[in-house]
Amino acid sequence: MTRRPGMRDLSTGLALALLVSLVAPAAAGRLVAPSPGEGRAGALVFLDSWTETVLPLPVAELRLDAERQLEVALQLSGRTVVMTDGLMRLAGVRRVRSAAALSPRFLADLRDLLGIDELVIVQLIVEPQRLLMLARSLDTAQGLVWQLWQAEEPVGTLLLGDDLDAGRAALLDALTRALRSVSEGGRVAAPDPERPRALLLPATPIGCSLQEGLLATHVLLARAAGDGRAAYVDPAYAAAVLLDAGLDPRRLDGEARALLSRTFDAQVVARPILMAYGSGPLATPRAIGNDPDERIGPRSLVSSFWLALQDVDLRDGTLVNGADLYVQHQGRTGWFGQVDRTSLLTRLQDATRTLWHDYRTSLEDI
Amino acid sequence: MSRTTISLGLLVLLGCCLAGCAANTTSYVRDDVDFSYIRRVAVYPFVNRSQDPQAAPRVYSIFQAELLQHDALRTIDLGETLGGLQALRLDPAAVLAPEQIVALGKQLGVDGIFFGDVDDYGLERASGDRVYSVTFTFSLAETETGSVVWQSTVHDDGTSLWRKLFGGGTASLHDVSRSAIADALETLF
Repeated sequence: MTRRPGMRDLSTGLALALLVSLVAPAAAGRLVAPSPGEGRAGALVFLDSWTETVLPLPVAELRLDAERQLEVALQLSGRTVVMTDGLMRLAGVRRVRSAAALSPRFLADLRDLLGIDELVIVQLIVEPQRLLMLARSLDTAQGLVWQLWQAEEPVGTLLLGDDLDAGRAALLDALTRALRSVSEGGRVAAPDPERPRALLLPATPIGCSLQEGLLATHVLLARAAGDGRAAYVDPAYAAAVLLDAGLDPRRLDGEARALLSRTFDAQVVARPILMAYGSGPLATPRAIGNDPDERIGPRSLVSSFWLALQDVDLRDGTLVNGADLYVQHQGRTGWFGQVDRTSLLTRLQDATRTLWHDYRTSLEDI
Repeated sequence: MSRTTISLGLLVLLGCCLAGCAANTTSYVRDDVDFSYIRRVAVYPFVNRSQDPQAAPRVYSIFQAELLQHDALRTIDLGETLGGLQALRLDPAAVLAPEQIVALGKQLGVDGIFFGDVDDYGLERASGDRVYSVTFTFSLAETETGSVVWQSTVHDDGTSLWRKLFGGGTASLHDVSRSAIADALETLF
């Protein structure tokens, strides 16, 4: 992907606009009055623009549209909803800057001050050719993951053109389709308290972007939680416990291990590492000199994922289990000219399934 | 020319081709060391001499995965190793003196420490083709005296006899690295 003039300024502007839109309380509050005895859901929407993606739309406006649609989707699924601006009234007490680190204190405030028992977090990743939605819901009492959703919707190349209205319409259409899965998913019961708890940290990206790390963490968490053998603590929540104590989740030293062990009463933590994501040879840095036509997206023909998953014993810091997977997918043109356009998300899900299988097999061998 | 001679010639040719495709490994193992007492080990952050800035952590991850497959050793996590280095105020990029290895061993409670150098890691042009090629040097130091008890230098690339005869793409960098690491560790276990 080639760097364009002024792109860094634009990225900074987007980040600032997003931050301002997150922390500024809305003029018309949509805080729903608490109903005694009724379980309520809070919802947060985060918008990430992919590295160096040009997004010629006002970020705050797009986020507002996403919030409106999410609110409807959640209400259709039977939840009583407190939206982001309502949650941000708590911002005077505690700010949420990133869905990658949900402070235990923030969750406690949601529960104690607003009576919210479920937090739904939606992360939107907008690229020139696709919209990715990652959503999950977790309980505010223990940070356990209840439900996960993910969707990838093509938006064409309109966002890069001059027709902003058409681009916006395409994006909103994709957003509606992506959020449909949230309303169709409905509410789920809290995990069985008899099931053991498990810890999974956010993926450590090596040579990959933070957004790619988020994506890998989410898909892996969906695979792990879908396994049904354990109730997973939200990775962002586990990471925040360490960050709040001034410790680095990527570096599990003795202090960090002791804190995790004490907080979650766990013996082992699983740590994913993402070492390659997307297309192109690994030896070539993705952002430098790559042909724009080979940009990662639904039309890519070659993709590669390199993931590792390691279990660290929290008592003595030894590695007790692990799996390492490199998988390359080459889309081919068929006899009748049809092109394999398996989406990158689907390929990542396939790779994660294989990694998880290897990991579980290795665990059972111990 | 008899049929036996032709068959023998073909076998020799095949043997030469296969030998050309195998990883090139040079290793050293100290004969007077009882390796059975090395049970718990650390892996020191690898040194990167290649052009790929991410080569060292990537090779490190594969090395750890390969070590895990050998049940004989318990490997401590990198975070633990870095914590030990920090406690002793040692630079992860520095080359350790034997007495520092002994001190680090005591700090981490390990019997041995693996070291690794990533010399080559990436595409290499060979006979007009571009193939992935790697060169690694690994060593193991025991922590009683800080002396090196095993060292192995391995070079491997993504070519194969099949590819040479019939064409096709190079093996992935991951597969080449993994194969090279497995070959190197084979000289130890």
